[in-house]
Formats: sequence, C-alpha cells, structure tokens
Amino acid sequence: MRSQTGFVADRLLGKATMLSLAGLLTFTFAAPLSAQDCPVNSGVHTICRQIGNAEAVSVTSPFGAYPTLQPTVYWHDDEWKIDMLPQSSPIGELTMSLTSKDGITKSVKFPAVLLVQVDSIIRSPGDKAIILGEANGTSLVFSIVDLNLAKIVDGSLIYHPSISPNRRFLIYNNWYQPHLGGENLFTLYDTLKSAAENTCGYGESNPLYKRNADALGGIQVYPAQSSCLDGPDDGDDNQDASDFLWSSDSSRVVFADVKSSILSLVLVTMPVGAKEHPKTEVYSFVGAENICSGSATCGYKNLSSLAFTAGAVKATLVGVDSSGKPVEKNLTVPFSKFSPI
Amino acid sequence: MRKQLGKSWGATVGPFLQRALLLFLFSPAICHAQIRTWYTGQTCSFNLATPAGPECLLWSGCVFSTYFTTADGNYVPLAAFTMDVASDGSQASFTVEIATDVPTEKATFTFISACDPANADCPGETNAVFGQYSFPVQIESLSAIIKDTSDIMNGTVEVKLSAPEGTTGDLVPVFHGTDASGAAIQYGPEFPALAPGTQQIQLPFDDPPPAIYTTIDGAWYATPPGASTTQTVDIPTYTMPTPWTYFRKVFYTQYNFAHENACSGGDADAWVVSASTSKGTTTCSFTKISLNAQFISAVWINGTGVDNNGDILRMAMVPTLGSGAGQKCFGQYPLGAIGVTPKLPNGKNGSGNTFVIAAPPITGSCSGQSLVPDQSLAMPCSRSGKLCPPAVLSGVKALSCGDQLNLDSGDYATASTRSADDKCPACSDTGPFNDVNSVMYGADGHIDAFSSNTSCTGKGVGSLGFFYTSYPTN
Repeated sequence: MRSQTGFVADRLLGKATMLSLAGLLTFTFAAPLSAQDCPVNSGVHTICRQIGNAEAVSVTSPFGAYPTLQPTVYWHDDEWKIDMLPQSSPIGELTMSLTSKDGITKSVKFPAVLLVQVDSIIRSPGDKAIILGEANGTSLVFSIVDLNLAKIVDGSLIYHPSISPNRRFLIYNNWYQPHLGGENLFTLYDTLKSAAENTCGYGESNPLYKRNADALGGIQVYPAQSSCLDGPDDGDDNQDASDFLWSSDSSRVVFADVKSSILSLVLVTMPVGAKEHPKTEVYSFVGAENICSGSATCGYKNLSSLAFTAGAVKATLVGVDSSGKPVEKNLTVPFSKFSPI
Repeated sequence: MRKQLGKSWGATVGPFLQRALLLFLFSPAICHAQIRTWYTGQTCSFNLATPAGPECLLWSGCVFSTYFTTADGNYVPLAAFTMDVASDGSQASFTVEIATDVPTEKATFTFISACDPANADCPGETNAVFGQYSFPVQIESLSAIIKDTSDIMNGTVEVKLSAPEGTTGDLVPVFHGTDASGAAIQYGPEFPALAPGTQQIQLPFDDPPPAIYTTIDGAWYATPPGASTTQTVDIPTYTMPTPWTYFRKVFYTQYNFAHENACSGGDADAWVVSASTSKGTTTCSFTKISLNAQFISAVWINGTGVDNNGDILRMAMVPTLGSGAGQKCFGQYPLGAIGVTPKLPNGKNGSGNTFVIAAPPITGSCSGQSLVPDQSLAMPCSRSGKLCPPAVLSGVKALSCGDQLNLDSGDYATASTRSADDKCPACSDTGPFNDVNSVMYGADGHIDAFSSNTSCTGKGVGSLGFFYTSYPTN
C-alpha cells in the first residue's frame, strides 16, 4: 500500500511533522490477489496464480498496452491449455492457442482493432474462457471464447472488470468513449448464459427492444434501468465508484457508488439458476453516517475498507468533520438493511 | 602547561613565559592567517612566536588576556579555548572553537600582556601594557542555503553548503506544500555525508508525495574537522520562485486518430448524420456511406479519424449531439445505424457506425486548441456534465487547458514537455491506485497522450508508460 504522507528524516520529526489528510484517507481495500513477477515475463509486472488445479499467468496493470509485445499469458488446467501466442501479425492481430486434454489444438484470432493485448485468461464454467485485454491502454475489452468451438461468442469494450471467485460472473463498468465520458453503468455478465441471454432485451418481441439490445452487453445492475430502451446515460451523476468486492462464495458483490455527494453501498446478489436475474440493493450513508457531510468532495476514497461478514457488509468510512478533523466510522450494514432499487 | 580559559580571558602568566610577544606567526592549520576566516564550531589553532619581547612575562605578576570582539566591541562567544605555552616561553599556541551562535561578521582577535599592579612581583611599572597584538578575523557561520530550484521538475535542487574544508554532514531539506484537499504535506529526504560546496542534490522521485511545494527549510547536521560536536545548521526558509507542482508517477497511455488509408479488409455500411433545429424540433438527416470496417471501429474507439477523402469523422456521440436517450437524434436512426450508445454489439465484430463530419483542424475538448501529435495530451476531467470540468490529477490539482507538463522518465532530465489540449474522462476514473487489480495500479495519475501514429489498429500506439510529472519550474 502506498502512503500519501511524506516522510521526514527521523531527526526532524520532533520539529514539525504533520500528517496529510490524504495520508489519512489512504485506501486500504484488501487486494484479493498478491502480485509477483513471474519468471515467464521478465520485466513485466505479472501475477502467477494457482487456481484450483489450474496455473494462470496474467499481466497486471499498469503495464498498459504494448501491442508489439504480447506478454506470456496463459491458463493451464487438466482439461485445457490456453495460451496467447507471441505477436506476429503485421496488423496486430492476436492469436490464442487452445489445446484440449485430447491433444487437439485450435486457434482463435482476435480482431486487431478491438484487442491489442491480452492481459488475462480465466476459464469459466461451461467450457468458456473470459479474456480480458486492452483496446488501446485506456479502454479495456472482454471477450468470451467458447473453447469447444474455438470461437469468440461475445465481448465488449469495458472498464474495471472484476471476475467472481467461481469465475462464472464478470462485473464491470460499461464503456464510454474515453474522451467524451459518461456515467457509471455497472453491468453483470453471466457466462452460463448465452450472448443473447446476456442482453437487456432478451425475450422481448418488440423490434425496438431488439435493436437496442444489440448494443447492450450484459445486464445493467446499477443504476436501475426501467426499460431496455433507456439510454446509456440518464443524466445522473454516478461517476465515482470503488472496486468490486466479491463474497468468497461468489453469491454477492458489493461496491461503493457516489451520487449527489452521497456515498452508497451497492449489493448485487447473483442469480443461481440460468434463468434468474441478479438482484440489486442499495444502502446509503446518510444522516449521522454521512461521511461526506464535512467535506467539499465525496468519493470512493471516503471508503477505506470493505469486507463481507456473516449476513452483513463491514465498511470503514473516513473523512473530516466540519472543523476539518479526521473522522473514521466503522459500520456494519446487515444485508436486511439494503433496499431494492 | 595548559590553561583553560572561559569567556573572561584573563590569566596570570607564570614565570616560565620568558619573552614578550612581538610577532604573530600562524600555524598552517585551518585558521590560516591568510584566510582569516573562521567558522563557528570549527576548532582553530594558531601559534604566537616570541623571538623577543617585554619583560612582563618574566614575572609572575604578568597578566594577559585574549579575546575576540566584534566591530561594536561585543565579545564573540567561544565554545572552547585552550592555550599551550612552550616551556622556554618562546611560543604560545591557542586553540579556539567559536560558539555556534555567532553570526557572520568580522571580529578582532586581541592578545594583551600587562603587569598586574596588585602583584608585588611586578616591578614598578604598574598598569604597564607590555604588548598588544591584534588581527582581524572573518567569522563565518556554517550555512546550508537552497540556491536554485529551477530544475526541481527533474528532481534536482542546488544547495550551497559553507563550512571549513573537511566538514561533513547529513543534509535534510524539508519541502513544504499542500495537496488538493488543502492538507499540509511535508517531505524531508536525507542526503548523507555531504561536504561543503555547491551540491546538486537529486530527489528520489518515488518518495515525495504528490503536492504543490512552495518552500524548503530543514537542516544540515555538520561536523567540522576536529569539532567536538555536530552542529545543527538550519536551512533558511527558501521560497521557490516557481512552486513545484509534482504529480509524481503518472501513467501515460496513447490515443491516435486512425486514417482510413492505413486500414485493411473490406468495407461496411456507415452513416453521416447532421442535425438541424427549427422551432424547437431537431431534424436529423442520415447519409449512408461505405467505410472500411476496421476504420469504423477505430474511429469509434478513439473518437475521431480521417477517411480516404480527408474528412475528419467523429463518432456521433459528440457533445453537440449528446448521447443515449438525450441525444438529439435519438429515435430517428435508420435501421442499421448505431450512434446513440457507445457500446459494441454483443458477439459482433462491429461498433457504432454513425459519424459527424468535423471542420479542420483536429481539435480536442479544449476550445480553440489544435491537437499537436506527440505533444498534446488529454487531461483527466470529471464525467459529470458535458463540459467535462478538469479533474484533480494525482490528488494535487486539476489541470487547465493549455497547461504544460514536464515529463521525466526518472533520469533527472526532461523527456518531453507536453501540453494539455484535450480532456479524458476515462483518465479520472482509474480506480484506487493501490489495488493490484486496478487499472492503474502503482500510478498516481493517468493521462492519455496524443500520438502521431495514424495506424488503423492499436498496434502502433502503445502506452508510453510512467513519467514523473511536474509543471515546468524553469
């Protein structure tokens, strides 16, 4: 964790050391993964992980996009060996190799204009793989690959993807043009469903819905979407969000969102069956719990930690009071106190 | 024998001192007469030779005094004073250490020998002064002064350390500033064992917290040669002529404007839209065209591109039209035209395909400022509102259109100077930087730089990586 507070040589500490507010607000979200450089990617910040019986190597940020150098990224388990091949295409087209346990190898080519670098490969249930990569260093991309078909079956430009521990779900912020902007539209993708089933308009017979659904990837879980014909930006000001925190059993994901200077926790309960829909509930820190009341700004940095506990979410909020003094609130919010959107 | 003298420097000289003091000869020590510059805290030695002299020192009643006085007659405080007299009285040597609180000024060293009238051994010539010898001394305090911060943008500060040769000590400059919240930030690195002279100290780039630094003070913990203690030499508060606005470790991605003639593959349907408003009603006209399919996607991702006719195409969600349900042309799109939503169709190698034609020159979101390849950059801005007000970078401050930034890769030299000519909402939304899963883990901020590359795919437009970023300070 990086401290925002400057250090002063010990001998001066008695003279005039002041902690910065920024230091007090340092974000302490527990990172679910530990990073380490893997020997397979010398000089590149990569994570090596053992996930069940699988061995995975992925690039971690901020490696950025270096399209001429596709780092070694793979997923190897007992049934599939999925490897990104070195970049060799003159136009930057990337190729992924799929080898089944039968020894049959197939390849998948990614369109160069949409994916210049693959950062990670995660095998999901149903013989699919979630591919996360870079479109241009700022915009990210996910692709769903059907391993048996060796085919890209879905995908979109996105921001901030987070995969559930059981590797079934992907939650992310919908993409907006990096230089034009847009509000946060939190979207869930269920890899147990088909591409069509992962659209808002699935099942609607109205062609207007169908046309709109063509442009929607995943199911928007927050803010509320009253109709699939809702535009992607309803003029709200959901612009500031924390990272996603998954429960260990993948049944829920929680994150913070800020709207109109109110910090809220958004709790999304995952569908169990393939036909179910996710359920979104919100708890807003208002009144005495409003950590932003003394500050000119309100953002995800006002949430210093977040954790699941039995039947509840524990949050540590930090901020300042009206006199500028640092304030810390440790709150436990039972699931029952969240309200459906 | 050795006599320890305090601040009243009178003493009775024993009969062993046989000669009057007629001539001062100085030892080649650090207090050499030709230098005549003594530093506070420095131990200086010098000799007084006595080839011939008055009778005073033959008598036990002989009294002498040594002292330093400033021009106005005040005594100069000494931390220590010792005197050694040769057994034959031919030479006296003195060692002095001037107290550390002596200001820089001229002083006079005086030696007086006289007959003590109260002593019976003093023959007749009571109150007679047998010898009085003086010489000027320039007393200098040890000093540590910040001289120049014009290159602090590249981590370099010029410091002048004044002390006798052989002095060494740890320098701890303390930088004072504030961050965007107004909180005080201070940073005090330690530079060990620095010798006197003009020093170019180089700050470790990763350590100073991002902030706007305005003043420097601190101390030099110096030990002059032979001194008994280390002095704390305060660095006088230095106000930087140009504050050091330090964004620290900013990650630079790149964006470009694809040219259709650099694309490969076949064509696809696209539309050019124009909107006109009359009596409160907006009418949008759509013209179906054919563009390279790769080019369509490239423009959609980067926002702007140049087609084979040289026209500048921008994605339809430009601020003049808006986006989503609020877009002026929402509901008027012909079948197949996509320009309301930024998202890509699921499972299809497609994208939005509706564009507006913009008049040259190519500009970004900063009004009236053209984009200069490999020089312009897009600064973080808030996604709230269509004007996209600049957002705080690295917790320090929000940039403004036209701001110049100095980029240093960490080698204490300017890699490039770039100009904020565009805005990047996505750059303000990079998540908690200390989370390994965050997009910009390890970075303090994110900026998108405009590349001269015109390739259709991202292959030629890799990220620039980290640069230690400041406002120029020269």
